[in-house]
Amino acid sequence: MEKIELSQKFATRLHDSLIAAGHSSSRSATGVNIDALVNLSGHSAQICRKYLRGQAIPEPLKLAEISAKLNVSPGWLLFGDSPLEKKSENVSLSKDLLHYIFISSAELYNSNHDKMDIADFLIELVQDISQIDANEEQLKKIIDLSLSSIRHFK
Amino acid sequence: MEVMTEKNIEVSPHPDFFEALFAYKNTVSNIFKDVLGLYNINHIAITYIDKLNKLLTLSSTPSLEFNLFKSNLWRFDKTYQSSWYALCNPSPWQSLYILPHYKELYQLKQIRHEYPLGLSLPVNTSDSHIIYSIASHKNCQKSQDYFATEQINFYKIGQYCNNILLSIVEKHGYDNISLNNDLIL
Repeated sequence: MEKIELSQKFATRLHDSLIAAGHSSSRSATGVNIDALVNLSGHSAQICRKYLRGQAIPEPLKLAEISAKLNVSPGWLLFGDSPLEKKSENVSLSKDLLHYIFISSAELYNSNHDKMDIADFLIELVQDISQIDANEEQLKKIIDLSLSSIRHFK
Repeated sequence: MEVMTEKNIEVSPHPDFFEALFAYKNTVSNIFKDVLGLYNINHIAITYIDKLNKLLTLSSTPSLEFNLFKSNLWRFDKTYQSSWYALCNPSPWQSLYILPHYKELYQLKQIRHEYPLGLSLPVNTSDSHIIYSIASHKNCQKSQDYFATEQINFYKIGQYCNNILLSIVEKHGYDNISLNNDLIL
């Protein structure tokens, strides 16, 4: 990969990660809050602008520091080809909701369904639930609705 | 010079909108799984708009549409505005966000749900409309090429799924929305 292409793609991922971390700014031409990047990196605003314009890439230690603060991997920030790739493999859900899913879905394993299909369905359900903006009561209703779709499936 | 403009018709979610997103999850997910992965596609949703201008969506990632509609951000996404979908022109997601809410929509659909590439593809039937939303987790050159050049095949993929899903949407009063193959193929 050409160095210019690498630095431009790095800039895109840095931009997206900053927005995902809540550092957007409607006053900035780049759409991100440059002061946040200055604070995260400890570099000057001038250097941070170069990062966001794809004109420079931080040294490895600084890259690791910035990526840790943005909750992405340094490898992804530098080379990844899809945004927030690391997050796709990880799911975060409260213990209460996970417990509710385990209890509510227990009977499925005694049914005629293929166990691999059930596991795939539950993984998808957990991913969905982890992404939904709703309170616990609403999320439990969504879990019940979703599980009813597999119970009724023959 | 007179300029023709499409009149915007007010649409609103069907009363069963949120329930339908999850109540058929197993069936809908299995149908979409048949085509996910083709052309680096990771997300498909089909939105039905009936003659009463009610919206119903079936999605491979229902959390995305749930958040979009619960937050009311859908009102600022031209994907759901008749002035756009009546014209039947496929458009990248970013081009459909209405400016004061551009960042919120981009943040929700493309960063939080991790779909940097997305297309909305509308189809008109005799008295209703269908919108295919197709997106990819990848933003590599190959995916960008697919999304730029394979839109006819994206329509075919949407139509294939739509034909199987019709029995579900008919339960909610959406009838006479099957597509004539000549419209696309």
